[in-house]
Amino acid sequence: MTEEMGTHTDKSDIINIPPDLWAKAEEKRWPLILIQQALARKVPAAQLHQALDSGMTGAEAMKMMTSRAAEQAPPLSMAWARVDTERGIRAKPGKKGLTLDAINIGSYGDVPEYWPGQTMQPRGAYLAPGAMSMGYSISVKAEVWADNLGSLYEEAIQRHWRPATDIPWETLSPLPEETEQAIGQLCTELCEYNYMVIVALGKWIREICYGFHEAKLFLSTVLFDAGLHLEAFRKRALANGGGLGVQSSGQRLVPIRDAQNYSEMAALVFVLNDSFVQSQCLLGAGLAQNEADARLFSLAAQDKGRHLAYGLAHLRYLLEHQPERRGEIHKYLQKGEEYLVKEFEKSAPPREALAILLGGGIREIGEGFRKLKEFRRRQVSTYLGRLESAGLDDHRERLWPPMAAYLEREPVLA
Amino acid sequence: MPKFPSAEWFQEVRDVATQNDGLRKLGTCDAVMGVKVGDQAIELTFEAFDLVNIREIQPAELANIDFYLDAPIETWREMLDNIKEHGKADLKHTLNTIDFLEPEGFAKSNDQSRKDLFYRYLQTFQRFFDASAQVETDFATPQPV
Repeated sequence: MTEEMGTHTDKSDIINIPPDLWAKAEEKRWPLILIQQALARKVPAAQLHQALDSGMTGAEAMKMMTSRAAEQAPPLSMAWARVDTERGIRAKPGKKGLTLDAINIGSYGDVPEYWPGQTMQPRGAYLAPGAMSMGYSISVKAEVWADNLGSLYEEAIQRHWRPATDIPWETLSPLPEETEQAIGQLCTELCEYNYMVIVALGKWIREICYGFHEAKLFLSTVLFDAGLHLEAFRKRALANGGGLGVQSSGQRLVPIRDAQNYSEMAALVFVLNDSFVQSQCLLGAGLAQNEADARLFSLAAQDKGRHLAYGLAHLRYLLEHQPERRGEIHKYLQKGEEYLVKEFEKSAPPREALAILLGGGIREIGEGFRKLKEFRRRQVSTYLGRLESAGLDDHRERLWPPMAAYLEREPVLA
Repeated sequence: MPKFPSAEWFQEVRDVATQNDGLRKLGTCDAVMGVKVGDQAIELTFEAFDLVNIREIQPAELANIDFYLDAPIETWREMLDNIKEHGKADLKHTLNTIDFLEPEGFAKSNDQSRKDLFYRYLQTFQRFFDASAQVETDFATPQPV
């Protein structure tokens, strides 16, 4: 008996049920947890004995307790549901589905010229008193905005691709050694550039306040694209018997790294460098000797087209809203042009690799260099065309002179 | 058998290209593209996942659209014959390759940012023209320009 009592005492210590009540609960097949909960709510043991003796089942007792618990819940204030945000919004999907632009309706579509908030308050939500400040430094719309941000974000999501499976890698076939090495060199530099885009964007995206979430969202896709391109070009270099080449001098990356404000970084990446990078991708696709290269470079050029579309629309918006910054933008671009030309002229690997690809092999290297001149002419001409389209039509006479010199050469690409 | 270039021909290609969500799978595309062959011009309006409008226009109207593909009938014919023969353009006859190798380019526009739409949606336009492999084509006699 002592031993039995001891056992009961031990169990009761754990679940805190008197032994006689325990025994009766087991006899009546009530869950012991129910007894424990009842005792925890100060239901007298005598009352529980009475309930057990009444013939009530355990399930019925459980139901009754749950009902009483609900009655005992604290009253709802619902104050959070009565804050002054716009309600009754019913955005409708269009041809492209329920897009970001489609939900920019009512007050939710008002993007202010200046966003004073320093918290993560979603645009249109009620500002909670005491919400944590995050220290954003970009609060002026013109500094990041472009009117096509919403549609570009949706397009980036819709048109994204997967390097592992969307490139027909099986179509890669042995190429002349120098050609394969030239492709490897091109891929090396594209990897390096995308590293820089990741670093630069990573730095600036966090500075943009949440009033301009479209900018944060689109730029996040650019960041993703940069990672994807880095992945894809690295895979290409390592997939066909070649390998990576030599690192570039990094001249073109210096001004991007050193950009002192977002607009400077955006002009250097999304207007100047992306313009030249896209044409390199188009070269890779245009001269491809297998389906894999054609698809890879063509898809990368498409993505660059989207990044350029943002860069030009942002530049246009900035010039319209802060025309006093026109001279400043010219200077940013001139600095970027200077460093870009330094890399073109002083760095042999990219120059020679492009000449091999353009000439169709090392035996035609002379022809390759002649075509490279024409390629540069077209690159600069296209770049200037983009600036004119964005409203910077007076940059032609401010073009960094060594870059302007590319325009003077006679076209020979045919 | 529809003649190239004509609205009828492009409509047939559109019907093939959009089968089985052919264009939808590539994602959204918003651009107004022109096709110029000699003194004939066609306007193609791509919107969301479809080619929503096709119409024959005057060549002068090409200046108002995003960009247009301009080449002599011989170039068009070589490209379309190649697509017919291989089921899609081979590496020497893609839109991008023709554009890259032509000294003045294949895609033209008065506005570079509008011309950029050609490069931004290359895969969609290529898929569209590749669909012509399944369309019987009657090439019109080249018109003197």
